[in-house]
Amino acid sequence: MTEKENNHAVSIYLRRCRWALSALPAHDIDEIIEETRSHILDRIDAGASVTDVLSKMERAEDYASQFIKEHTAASAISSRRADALVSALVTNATGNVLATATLVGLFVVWAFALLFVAVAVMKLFNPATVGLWSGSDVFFLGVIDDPATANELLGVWIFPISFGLFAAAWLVTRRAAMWALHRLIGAV
Amino acid sequence: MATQIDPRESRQTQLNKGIAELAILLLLKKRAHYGLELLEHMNGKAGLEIADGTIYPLLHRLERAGRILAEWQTNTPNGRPRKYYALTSEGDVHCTDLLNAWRRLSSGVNHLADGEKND
Repeated sequence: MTEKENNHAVSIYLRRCRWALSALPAHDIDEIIEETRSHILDRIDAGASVTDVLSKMERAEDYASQFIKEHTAASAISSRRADALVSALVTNATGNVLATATLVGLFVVWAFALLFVAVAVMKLFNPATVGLWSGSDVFFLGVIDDPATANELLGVWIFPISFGLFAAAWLVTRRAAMWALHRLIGAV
Repeated sequence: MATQIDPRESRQTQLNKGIAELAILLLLKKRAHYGLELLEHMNGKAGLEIADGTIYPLLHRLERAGRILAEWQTNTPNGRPRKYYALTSEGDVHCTDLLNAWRRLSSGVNHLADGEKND
């Protein structure tokens, strides 16, 4: 390769990195690109070929994704917002058992809480047939065809219970996501 | 086509990544280093086989965690700006904790390995 071709290959790699890093603040991108450029040129100055140097670096997209994942997790922890925390977990879920397991756990918690909330809302419109039903061979939360065949266990308590479950799911989401992201950032 | 991953290589890579943080902090305990310099120390005598593309995200993470500080220096031998990293007092404490944990872990594993030999 001529020097011009070398410079071109390095420029293309750094341009792809910059593009892949575009979710980060501009100052961070400039710093990462400048440091990466310095590293590549130092290697070339030491006698390595551009092809070798670039092959030792990861693909630009993979290289950038490590910075993005860490940045997303750190920003979410700082903000302490549940949506940002869950979004950071989703970003980190690919190839990470802890993030994936936390997301699955949160999905189950939210499914349970939202089921109660949905049934509570339905009970507002149809109090006679909606609730937690227990009979000789039935036990379920929802709508019953014939209320005479089973007993409704919760009555109006379904409203505070649903609210409590919703609030608990919210708190659990924040706590679990913060815990998982702290571990992800610390687990280097 | 699916990428073939050698399980031994994958295990080695994961282990190296885990140890890399401790290695960086130990090197920075002595003096400030730049990325390539750290990499050469770790891959040289220590034989950690850290990939070039792995070290900077790790340094970035340690910097954000307040364990190391970064400073650009322009008075380098080749005139190219380099980012030098130094240990913070928080990083120093963390380094000691990690080193103690590592010693306990390696002592435990050695104990098991010696026991296996004797069995």
